[in-house]
Amino acid sequence: MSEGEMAIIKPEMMKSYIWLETADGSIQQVEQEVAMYCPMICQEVLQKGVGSSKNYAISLPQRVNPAMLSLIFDYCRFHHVPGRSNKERKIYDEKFIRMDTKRLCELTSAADSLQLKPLVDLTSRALARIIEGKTPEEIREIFHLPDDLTEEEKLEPLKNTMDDPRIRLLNRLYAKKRKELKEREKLKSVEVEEHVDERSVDDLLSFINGRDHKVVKTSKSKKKNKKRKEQKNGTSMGICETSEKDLKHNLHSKSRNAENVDKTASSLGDVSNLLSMEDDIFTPKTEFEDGYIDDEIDPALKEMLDREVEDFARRLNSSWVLSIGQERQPVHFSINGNGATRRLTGPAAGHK
Amino acid sequence: MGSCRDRLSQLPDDFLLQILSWLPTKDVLVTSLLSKRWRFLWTLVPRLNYDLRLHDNTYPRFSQFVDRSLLLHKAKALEGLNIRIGSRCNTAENDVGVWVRTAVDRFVRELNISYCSGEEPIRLPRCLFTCTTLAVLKLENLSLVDVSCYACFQSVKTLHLLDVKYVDDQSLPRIISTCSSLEDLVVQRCPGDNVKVVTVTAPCLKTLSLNKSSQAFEGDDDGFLVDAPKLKRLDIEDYWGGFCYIENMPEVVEANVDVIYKNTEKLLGSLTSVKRLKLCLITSDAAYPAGTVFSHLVHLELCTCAPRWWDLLTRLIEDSPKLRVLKLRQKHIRRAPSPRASWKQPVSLPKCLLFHLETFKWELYEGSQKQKEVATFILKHAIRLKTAIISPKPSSTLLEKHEMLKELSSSPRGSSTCELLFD
Repeated sequence: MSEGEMAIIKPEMMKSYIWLETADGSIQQVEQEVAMYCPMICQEVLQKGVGSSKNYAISLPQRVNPAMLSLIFDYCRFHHVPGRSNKERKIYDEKFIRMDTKRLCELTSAADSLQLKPLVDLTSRALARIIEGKTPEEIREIFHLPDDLTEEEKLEPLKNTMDDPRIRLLNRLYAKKRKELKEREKLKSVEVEEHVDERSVDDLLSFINGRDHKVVKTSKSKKKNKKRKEQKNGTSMGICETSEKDLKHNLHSKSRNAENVDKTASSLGDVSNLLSMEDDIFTPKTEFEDGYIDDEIDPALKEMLDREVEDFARRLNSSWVLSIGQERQPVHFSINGNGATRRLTGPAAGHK
Repeated sequence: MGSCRDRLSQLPDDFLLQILSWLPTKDVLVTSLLSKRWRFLWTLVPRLNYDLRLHDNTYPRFSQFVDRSLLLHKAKALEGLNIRIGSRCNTAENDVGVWVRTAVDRFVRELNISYCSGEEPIRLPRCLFTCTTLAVLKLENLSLVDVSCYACFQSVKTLHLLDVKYVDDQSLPRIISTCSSLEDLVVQRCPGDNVKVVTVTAPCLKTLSLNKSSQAFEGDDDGFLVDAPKLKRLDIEDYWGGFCYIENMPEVVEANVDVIYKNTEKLLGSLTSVKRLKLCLITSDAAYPAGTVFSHLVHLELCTCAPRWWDLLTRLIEDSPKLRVLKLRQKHIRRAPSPRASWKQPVSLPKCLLFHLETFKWELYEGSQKQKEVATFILKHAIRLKTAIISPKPSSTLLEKHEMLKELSSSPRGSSTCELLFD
């Protein structure tokens, strides 16, 4: 087209408009070529023939409000022009997408319901950039998401807690614990007293942990920062976390070795005795642990970790306790705590 | 819409998964702690992106993370798996093998594996080569030495092979021949890949990029053979090799040729239908066969690093009757000192200058004798010229710039509407 021809604008070539109605009832008009850039509108116009006048306005999906509609049309108005270079489009997009998160979410929603793919890609990338690298708290804050996960759901293994130093500490503690138990087991002569079926050892385990919960509480009220107590709690937690089978085996041997153990069905409260026995078994070991652990973690961090470990234990244990079914027979032990301690520190002392 | 309401509540789950697809999987897992809605959403994310750098470059932690998240991931079909291992890891090969096998089992569509360059490449499991769902395959510094003849990439449309090692010259053609729908191919050769001549025969290919990695190559008699009649875009960069022969490409639209071959007749000679051309050659006489006309060429960009670049420019201007945009720029350090030969101006005024040239750009202009001659010639004879933008080298002094500006603005201009910008 030479310049001469373009100077004359014939009236018939004036722009035609498309009429659109948003869910709230307000009607907007926009140039046809701008509206046609959006495939959904294009389809409505071509297939159903609507949109040519105010009375036959195209009704838009609910997620599109008038403010977003005009934003979308700004976008279409820029991009429907074919002559622009990729660089120009990119620069425009980057400027366009700069808005507060609330508007960005609304825009994303509107673009998605209108199926405008380039804008959908642009907005979803922008939202991804916002989410990237942030903690859950930060993300919840930005998007006003409800904080409706329970504590235990939040603590499920895998996820980002894999890198957690607490988990590593626990795994280390447990590994050592297991090793020590195995060694002790070899030293003692084991007599099979009665066949303890798996289920009861299960209950044993869960009640130990349930008891641990209480032990933690009491120890907390005492001097919380005593290393020993914390190691103990950490250890018990390590047990909860890892292979039950090994645990059962160790506990099994432990229970046989403690002469004062009898099985009596009683209320939950009596589990406490068993736990104290178990705790006492492990307490002497803490001296070993201290040596290993201290080398790797500095004291300030360790103190904080210890506290968190306690916390963690309490939460985990509460979930264990909750999972106990009614039909299981709780197995409890009544022990002369002192006696058990005395008996067990003997051989344990040999390891030092 | 109150400020206490969940801002993402209006978006459907599918859309949220789309957003999550852009994120590294490490961040995707963080979202599982957001709220009830998000708790298991991550298990359906269609793309998984793993990068060793995000795990402090500690490989054991990284591989454990990949293993576990792959295990928990529940989507029936994996849209894409991206693994980037940027530092050397001795056990990476076994792990990558398992991960690739898992991806193949989950009907993966896009696979992108990158192992750090310069290290011994890791080998891929054979099951990959019979994966029928694969549409995009991008490999970097891996070894395809185990590919046997039953490879079948019938759905692969995009194939990028960077620094990949092959068995011999026949490996790559064999792989490419199984890709019956291949449209986009990138091959970057590296030293020691057991290839002398890269042969590309692909009937549906639309874009092709051939280049060599930045390491030093031995010998200079290797080359490329290309037969891709439907090609639309070609990129060749080769500072080491000997030749590149291509069969005629009647549909080519854009080409970027940056090579040191002594003879490019069989290369440029097949690109006569090109519309946009970026060129850097060391030869002008043997650039393309005499009598070739680039009848569709509209946009030309020429590098002025070669010893007699002005001769090539003359030839091109004479042989491109429809040229509208001409851009000159020194892309590389000058390869040899400029000879003293003079510039032979075109005998008859080239058609493009008379009828079509509208834009003339020169970047890193130095104001040397030859450059001045060329610039003044073009300014004088390009009757339709609308814009001329000449940008001096940033290292020129103010005095030099002033000289250049003076000379250029005082030179006669053939076009009355021409705007000369000196910047």
